[in-house]
Amino acid sequence: MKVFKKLITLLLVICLVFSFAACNKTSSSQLNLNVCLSSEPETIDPALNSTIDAAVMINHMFEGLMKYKDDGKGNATLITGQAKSYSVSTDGKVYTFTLRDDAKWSDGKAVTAADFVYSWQRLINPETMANYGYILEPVQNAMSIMYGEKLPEELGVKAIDEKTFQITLEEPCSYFLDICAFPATFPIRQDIIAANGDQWTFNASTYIGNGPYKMTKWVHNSYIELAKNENYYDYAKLGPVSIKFTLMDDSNAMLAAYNSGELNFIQSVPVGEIKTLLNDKKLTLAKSLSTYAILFNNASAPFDNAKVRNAFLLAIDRNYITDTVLGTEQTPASAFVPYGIFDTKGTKGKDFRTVGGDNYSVAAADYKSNCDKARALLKDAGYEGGQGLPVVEYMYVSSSENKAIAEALQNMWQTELGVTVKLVNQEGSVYGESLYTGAYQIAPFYWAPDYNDPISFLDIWVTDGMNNVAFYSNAAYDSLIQQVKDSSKTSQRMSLMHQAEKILIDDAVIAPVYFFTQPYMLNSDIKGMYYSPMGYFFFTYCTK
Amino acid sequence: MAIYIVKRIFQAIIIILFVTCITFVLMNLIPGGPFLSEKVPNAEVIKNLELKYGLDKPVIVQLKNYLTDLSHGDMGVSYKIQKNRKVTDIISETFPISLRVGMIALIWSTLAGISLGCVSAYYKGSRTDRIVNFLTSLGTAVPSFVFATVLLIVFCVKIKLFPSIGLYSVGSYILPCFALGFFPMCYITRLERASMADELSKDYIKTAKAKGLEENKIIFKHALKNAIIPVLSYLGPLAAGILTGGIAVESIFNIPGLGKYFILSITSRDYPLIMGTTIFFAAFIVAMTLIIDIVCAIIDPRINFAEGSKKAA
Repeated sequence: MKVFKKLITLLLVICLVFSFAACNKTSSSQLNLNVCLSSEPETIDPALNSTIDAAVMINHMFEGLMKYKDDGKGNATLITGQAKSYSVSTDGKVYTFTLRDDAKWSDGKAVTAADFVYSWQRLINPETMANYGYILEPVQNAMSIMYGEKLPEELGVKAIDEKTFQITLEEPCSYFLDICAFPATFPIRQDIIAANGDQWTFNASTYIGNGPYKMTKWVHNSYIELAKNENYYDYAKLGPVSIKFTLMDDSNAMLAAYNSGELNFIQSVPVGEIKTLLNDKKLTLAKSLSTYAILFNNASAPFDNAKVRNAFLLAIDRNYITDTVLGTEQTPASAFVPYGIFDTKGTKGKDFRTVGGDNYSVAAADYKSNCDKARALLKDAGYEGGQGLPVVEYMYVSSSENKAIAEALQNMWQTELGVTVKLVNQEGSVYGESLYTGAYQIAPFYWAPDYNDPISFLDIWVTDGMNNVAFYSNAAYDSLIQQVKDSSKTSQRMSLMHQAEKILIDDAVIAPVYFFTQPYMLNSDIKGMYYSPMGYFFFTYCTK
Repeated sequence: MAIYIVKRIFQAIIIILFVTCITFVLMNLIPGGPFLSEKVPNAEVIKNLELKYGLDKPVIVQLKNYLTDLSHGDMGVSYKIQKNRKVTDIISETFPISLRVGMIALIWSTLAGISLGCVSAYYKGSRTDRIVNFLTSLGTAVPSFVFATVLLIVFCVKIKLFPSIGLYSVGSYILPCFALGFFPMCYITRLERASMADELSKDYIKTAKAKGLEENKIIFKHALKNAIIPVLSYLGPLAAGILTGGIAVESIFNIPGLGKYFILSITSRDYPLIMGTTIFFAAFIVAMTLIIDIVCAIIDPRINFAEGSKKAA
């Protein structure tokens, strides 16, 4: 009998042990996440990348001085990453970062200040040919290095000791910490690049990062697979065992794979399915910080006349475009800087758009009066009822969305203003050239900011600005933007930027149409994903 | 025959060289360029990019450099789609995948097409013939991306019989191979039916029938030999098209094949990749045509090499 009791006890203990083991199995540590962002990335070199989708991947495999963490509600907030602390000099021009003692590369080597010095110099070096070199603009000498006037070694960065990285800025910069979390500024390894040149990103063994995950496999055009980086300082808390970025380009196929359970996350769905998916509450619409606007070629007739531009701006029925043409809860744009971009009080106060208010009414009820104003403006400009205005060309890149918007705009302008609008569609790479050489009259344009500050939207339009494809030139505007850049007081900066934005819209340099939303679908049983309205999704701490 | 083949290979090289030069010039003539994106890089960056890839030189010099590199088997690196990866690596990695799927599709569509065509011709005017006719008309009219999408939704989402992404199991080959081979199968059926029906009405078949030969023997041994020639000549270009990857099918079933690069390289102005894929395709089509011509000559005694070799001599 005693033996029997012992046996029962033993059996119970075994059961207990196994049930714990079973618990472990179903817990988060077993999640293998399969995510589809888009097709094969052009590059996953942090410095050379210029797409948001690849930035999401890079965010999982590298980490900058600063990083984003979940605020508990799925929103990304900025905290220190590879740095454990930082200090800013009283004049706001010198940032000193102290790196974490346990900051390591995925091959176990320590992350040093010298790694940052190398990476930042590489980013700004024109020979690296990085599209995003200008992100370092606030750093001392950055622009002159970019234009080949100074050497990369003259960049205002230095390694004080192995763990102390110091940056000197040209002027104080209120969004500099955001830049320190921007993927192009992430550290990369000099020895790896020296040994492998531009081929280092293609092989898991040479793609050494310092982020929470590391690449284990890249099957081109199929998937990029990531596993936890055991050398990451927060290794114990990481979520999915593996993250697989499946590379696809057909949105019908993405939705099919999501519905069949092969994918856990997708961010583009066929346009025709949006309404059904929204009704079924399967599709989520996140905030986005991007604006869709119409560009006018300010340098050539008839759009060199602000009255004509204003007439075109006012005759757009923005509600029709957001509700009927698109239908994914975009906000009609009453100015260029979207909701969610910070004003004086950052995350705590009203945002820049709310403070700035509407530059023209976007209420559906006011559309009629807007059109009356538009007709009056056109009459003032000498084109009453569209008479005398030559046929205007609207140029766009052929995508189903762009086309639908183009047709809606054509109809609005023709019926309300009496002008004749011809639609011309172009291929993406030709379109880029047409914009930058000014070979267009009207064209759509969308802008996603690189950091959360209105200046990212406003400094575009300075005379001869790199991306000033409207060819706008206004000395008063230029001077305001210069004052913003020279100013270190947030309240003063913001007030100057409100003035600048008002000029921009009063002059109708561009006609803002709507503020984007970011659709995505994620399995409802997966928790812990967080998102930055900059377009970055973070799967690092996802659990099931 | 050997002389004929040598002559044809020599011709092929000339053709490919010609295609190379024409493509190179045309590609540089179309507007747009590989380095322009929404956020245009600064002039210094563009200058360095052009310097790195030799685009600062006149087109004729670029062409000369390209041909020199090509003669050493170097097709350069991709500028954009897979930045800095060798074009030869991209092709040698993606082509075998397209080839595998394409080969299966080619084999089943040819076999099924010829059989159905024969049956249809033999039972000309019957209900079987009408059904085959209807289905193959439908098959040639429906675009492959529609057909593939329908298959995907029915068999992967609704019934969940097959996986929808990639080629990770034997089962995942079924749908893409079926979708890829469906149009050619229908087309071959119609070709075969027409030529077989024509053949069956000829005198020698009547003679054979009168002699009391078995029906099977008449059709498969005598008539098919002649009726297959039109199908064979269609097979050359078909094989080149299907084996290098169907763009729609590869994109819908997420197959990492070569197909999509034909279009993608052009829309993104990835010059070395445009050249690489075009030369590869041209070489493939020339090779396929040559093989088919030889096979035709073996099957059909009316075609002979003697004339060609005489001229060559």
